[in-house]
Parts: sequence; C-alpha cells; structure tokens
Amino acid sequence: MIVRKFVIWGALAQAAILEAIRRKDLYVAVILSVLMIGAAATIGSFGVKGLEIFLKDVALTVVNLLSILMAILFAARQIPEEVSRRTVYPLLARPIGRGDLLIGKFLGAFALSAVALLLFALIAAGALGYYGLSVGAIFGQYLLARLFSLALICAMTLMLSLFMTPSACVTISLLLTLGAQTFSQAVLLIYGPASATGKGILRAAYFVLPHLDLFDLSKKVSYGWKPVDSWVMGALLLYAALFSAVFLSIAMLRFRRQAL
Amino acid sequence: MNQTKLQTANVMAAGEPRAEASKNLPGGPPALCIENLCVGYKKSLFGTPNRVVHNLNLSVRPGEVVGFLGPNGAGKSSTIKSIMGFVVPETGSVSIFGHSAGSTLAKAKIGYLPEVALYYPFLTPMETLTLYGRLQGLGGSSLRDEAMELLERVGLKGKEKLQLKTFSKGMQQRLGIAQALLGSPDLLVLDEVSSGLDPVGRRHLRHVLNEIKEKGTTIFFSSHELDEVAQLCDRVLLIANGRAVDERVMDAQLRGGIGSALEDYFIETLAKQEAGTTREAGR
Repeated sequence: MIVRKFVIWGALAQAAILEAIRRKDLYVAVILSVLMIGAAATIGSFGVKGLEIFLKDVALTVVNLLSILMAILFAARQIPEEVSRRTVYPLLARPIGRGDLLIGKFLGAFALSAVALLLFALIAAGALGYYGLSVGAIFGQYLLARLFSLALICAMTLMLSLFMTPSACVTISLLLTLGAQTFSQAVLLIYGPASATGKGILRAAYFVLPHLDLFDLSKKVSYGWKPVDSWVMGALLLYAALFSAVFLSIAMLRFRRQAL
Repeated sequence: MNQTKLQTANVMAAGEPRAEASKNLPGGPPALCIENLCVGYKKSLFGTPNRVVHNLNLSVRPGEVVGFLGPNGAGKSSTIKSIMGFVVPETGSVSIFGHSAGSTLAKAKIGYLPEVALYYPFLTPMETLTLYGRLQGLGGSSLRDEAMELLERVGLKGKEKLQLKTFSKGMQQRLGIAQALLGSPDLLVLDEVSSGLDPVGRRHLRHVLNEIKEKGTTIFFSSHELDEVAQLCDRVLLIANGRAVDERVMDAQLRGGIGSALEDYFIETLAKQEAGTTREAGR
C-alpha cells in the first residue's frame, strides 16, 4: 500500500519535473542568477579586501530571492494549470485519490525548488570561490534550512492556489514569504502599546503565520559564524514539517470536494 | 415503435421505481447504475446551486454499448463527471460494478476519455501513457509493450517520441483514446468520443471500438455524431434539460444510414419533449 503510494507520488512528481525542465523555466532562472551574482562579483575585481561580507551577502540574497520566487512560481501553477488545461481529468480518472495528486504535485514543486536552490548555491559558491572567499561549514546548514523553508513555501502556495486565482496566489505568497521578517519585527514593536484585543490578534497572527525568517542563516554565513547546534536544525525541520502538514491538510480538505 | 422500446426500461421519468429493477440485473451488479442523480453548480459559496441534472436514473449492463445522447447543455457531461467522481452529486448515487463512483475501486475499472482531450504539451505520447500506466498500477516492460501496442492501434506509431505540443487536435484525441484503453478497463466512459477526428480517424476509432465491444467491454459514450452512435450502440438514452427523455434499443431501422432514422428519432423526440414542456409551462 505504502509502496503503491510512493509510486503514484513519484510518477506525478516526475511528470512535473520533466515538464518544468522542458519548459526551460530553470534555465531562465540560472541565467538570471549568473547575471545578478556576476554583476555583484565584478566589484571583487577592484580587490575584495573589506568587501567579503558584502559580496557574500549579495550572493546569498540573490540565492534566497530566486529560490523563493522559483518555489512560489512552481507551486502556484501545479493544480490551477492542471484544471485549466483539463489534464486533471485523465489523471483523476486513474485509481488515485485527490490527496495523492496534491502530494505528488507538492513533491514535484519541492524537488524543482530544491534543484533550483542547489544550482543557485553552486553559482554563488563558484563566484565567491573565484575571489578566494570560502563560505565555511555553516553554508551546508544554510542550504538545509533553505530546503526546509522551500518545503513550507511550496505547501503554503499549493494551498493558496486552491482558494484564489494564480496571480493572486503568487502575490499573496510573495507577500507572506518576503514579508515574514518585517512582520516578526513589526509585531514585536507594536505588541507593547497594543490593546488587550489587539494583543490577542497579534499573538494569534504570530503563531498562525509561518516565521520564514527563522530559516535564514545567510547572515551567519556572511559573517563566518560557526555551524549552529544540530538540535536547532532538528527544530527547524520539525517546524517546517508541521506547517507543511497543516497547509497540505487544509489543501486536501478544500480539494476533496471541489467540483472540477 | 413500442416493440423496439426496451421492456424493462432502465431510463424513466423522475420518481418511477426503476432503481430496484436495475439492481436486480442478472450476472452481478450493473456496470453502471445511476439512481436519482441531481447535479448542481453553485456560483457563489452561499448561493443556491443551479441544477443541471434532475433525478436521473439509468443502468448499463456489463457488455452493453450505450450511447448517451442529448443537445448541447443537456447535462451529458455533468452526468459523466458524476460517474467519474469529478463532481459530488447534490442527491442520488452512482455506482460502477457495485463500487461507489469516485472511489479508487470504481476508477480501477474505468477507462475515461474527457470531452476535450488535452495532455501535457511537453511530454511525449510514450511518457504520457507511462505516467497514466504507473498511476493505474502498471509498470515495467508490460506497460511499455502495452503503450506501444495502443499507440499503434490508434495510429500514432512512429510519433511516440514527439512532444504533444506538436500534435493536432485529432492526434491528441487518438492519444486520449489510447490512454482510456490502457489497462484494459471493464467500462469505457467516452465523452464526445469522435470530437476533433477526421473521417479517417473516425473510421479508425469505430474499428477500435468494435474490437473492444467484441471483447465484451462495456461502453458508455456521448456523441453528437449520430452515425457513430448508430453503428456502435446496442441502446441509446436521450437526455434533455437534465432529464431523461427516452431510451431505445437500436434496430435495423435506426441504424439505417447517415442522417436518416436515428437523426429523425433524435430530433422528433426532443421536439416532442420541448412541446410538452412548453404546454406545461403555459398551463
């Protein structure tokens, strides 16, 4: 039974990956990252002394932004495109559940995002290495934490895509993802002077919305920190798994009885 | 005309006790059984559903080939979507060989061709059939062999490595037929089966469907091509405005050539239904 499920999810994910590769989505993102990181790295030709942190910061910011963008774009189109293209009918005519389709699509979007992240990271590490800058052991943890956050972002975007139009889904997902850090800081600032009701709302929002800023170890990489304790990575994994499971469950509840 | 009407009518007007009769068909459960089906679509979350199928009852025996006819907007596709579990009925039930529609057990017995067959434009026919085959529980060399055989059967041999974005509508429809036949289903549900096919493709399709029919596969299909229906069906069911209107067992007279008896029957029956509805509305 479990093996059969993995075969189904694997087949759906594989089709999603194959399609994205043939659509050349990844190529565009890779070219874009080479251009952006390359442009920033030209500063290094004037001598990198004193600019190490800046260069690392720029390279990792590009990796962060592009990987988030790719994850949202991949996940946002999975189900709506299946429905609008009508390819969902022959898929769901097979002996699979709608939940299987959602999980397969989630895995496909996550795998694509992971490949994109690794490509961007490779380009960034290559550009930094060209100027003799090393990223240190924490770079591995940075990538792992980004992978966890990408899983969460894919699950969230997939869920939102079942409630709104694709463009609205992309906009809201970008706002929630990129605004996560600002939101955390804003809550801390306005929590003190807020009324009791306001505090309740803020507290609820603080725990309901995912804190994607927790997964960003790029500053630690830029400033050459030592690797964080393994329990921190474990906690991040748990946090991402919990939120992803909640988002996918909401998506399943929505998709289960949706007329196609 | 009455002689050609099926004695144990499986399709009747709403409220008539035909569901029990269809349950007691000899040789196990019917291939397809629809009881008091009502389908409606909500325009908004709290809005009243716009009902498109009203108390529909029908049953199809194993091995039977049944044509599901009706004008545009009659409710054919909504009924077929209920059979596939794509829409949840407001009331009523649909079962396939005794399994509830939409369940994996029911879907394991069905091969389905959607109304407008579109497939992944960046995959090849072979990759498409492999994907559907794996979802069906098939795999390995047997899946590859079956996919190749099906592509040959529908006239796509030599095109198995082309991406589907290069395919015409007719070629996509042929692929659609191939995917519906994958895994030798017990019941074929075909929505607008000959849509997009040229005359050669239609003849080819008729040949394929006749082969399947001879193997004893149950076929339930909708089509506007009455010639197609006349040559394939054992029985036709008529639906209009979401309601079952009539059914007929196909005979030599109804099969009598293109644009003749079946077309006359189709148009006359619908005209009578329309006149009846207008009279009732006038009272």
